[in-house]
Amino acid sequence: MSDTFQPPIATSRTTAGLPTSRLGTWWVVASEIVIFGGLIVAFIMYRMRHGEVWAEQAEHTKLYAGALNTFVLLTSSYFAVCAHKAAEAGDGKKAAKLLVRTILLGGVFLCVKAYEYTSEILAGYGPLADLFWSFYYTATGLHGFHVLVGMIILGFVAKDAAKGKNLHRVECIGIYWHFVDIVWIFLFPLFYIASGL
Amino acid sequence: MNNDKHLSHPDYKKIYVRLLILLAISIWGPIFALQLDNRFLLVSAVLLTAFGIGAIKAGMVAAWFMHLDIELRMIKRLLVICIFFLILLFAGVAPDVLLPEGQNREMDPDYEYPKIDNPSTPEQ
Repeated sequence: MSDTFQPPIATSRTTAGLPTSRLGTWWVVASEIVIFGGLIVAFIMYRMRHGEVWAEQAEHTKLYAGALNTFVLLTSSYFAVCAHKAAEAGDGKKAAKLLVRTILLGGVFLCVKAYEYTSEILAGYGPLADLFWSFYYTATGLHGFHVLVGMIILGFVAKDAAKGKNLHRVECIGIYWHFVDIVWIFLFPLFYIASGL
Repeated sequence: MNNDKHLSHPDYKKIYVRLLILLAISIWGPIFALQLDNRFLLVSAVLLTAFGIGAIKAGMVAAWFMHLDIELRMIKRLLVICIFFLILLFAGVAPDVLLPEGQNREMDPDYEYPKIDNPSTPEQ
């Protein structure tokens, strides 16, 4: 038996024409599209069904907080893609630094969301207030959970990247993070902007 | 996208600035649109500025930040299939939710939107 190190086949084969790690990430994204897409499609149907009643409810969401969170996530996505660029150039330390900024912005997003939840629940708009609020807390809560999971994974990837290890993972977590950003881009007009309709 | 070659990265700062401009339009557009008296114009303007621009923003993030523009055709097909199933879900379920009656059912004309008392509502 040879002592030469052989990388695991699963991480090196490219029968599909792209690295297995990236292929796996795209599969995750595809399954997430169905999860969030199903929620959004159901929300749109009921929004059309209960137009005026839900429009009244939607007026109680905080537009400025939603807009701030959109800005925060877009900025975090910008740092994530810059981290990918740095990782491809072999600059692990710069990539790690940019990933840490992405994590911090993820934290800001969750803090704003926590503020929103608190003020809405205190005002009487809890998850059981009515169907609109059930949709609101399910969709934004599930999205917030994905932000939290993304932050944890970003932490592990940044730790490795700082040592110059596993730099290919920076792109994979970037794809996931951008997807989370895209989901918010759709949730924002649904829950915050279209309240006048 | 070729595995072994590095990407030729676009100017991400420029894309980011464009995204922020679109975000500003998607916030202010509907606010201005709400002042319109014509219902048709109002709905069109809100849908266009909120959801239309949202879709453009999502497309920009997918194309340039996720590099979907140069990703393998297989991946694009995978994502299109998922979106197709979402459209199928809408087409299959929407008639039950939106139409007042169907082949085997009829909506109650006295139906009222269910309002659940929230125990967390503070006493006024």
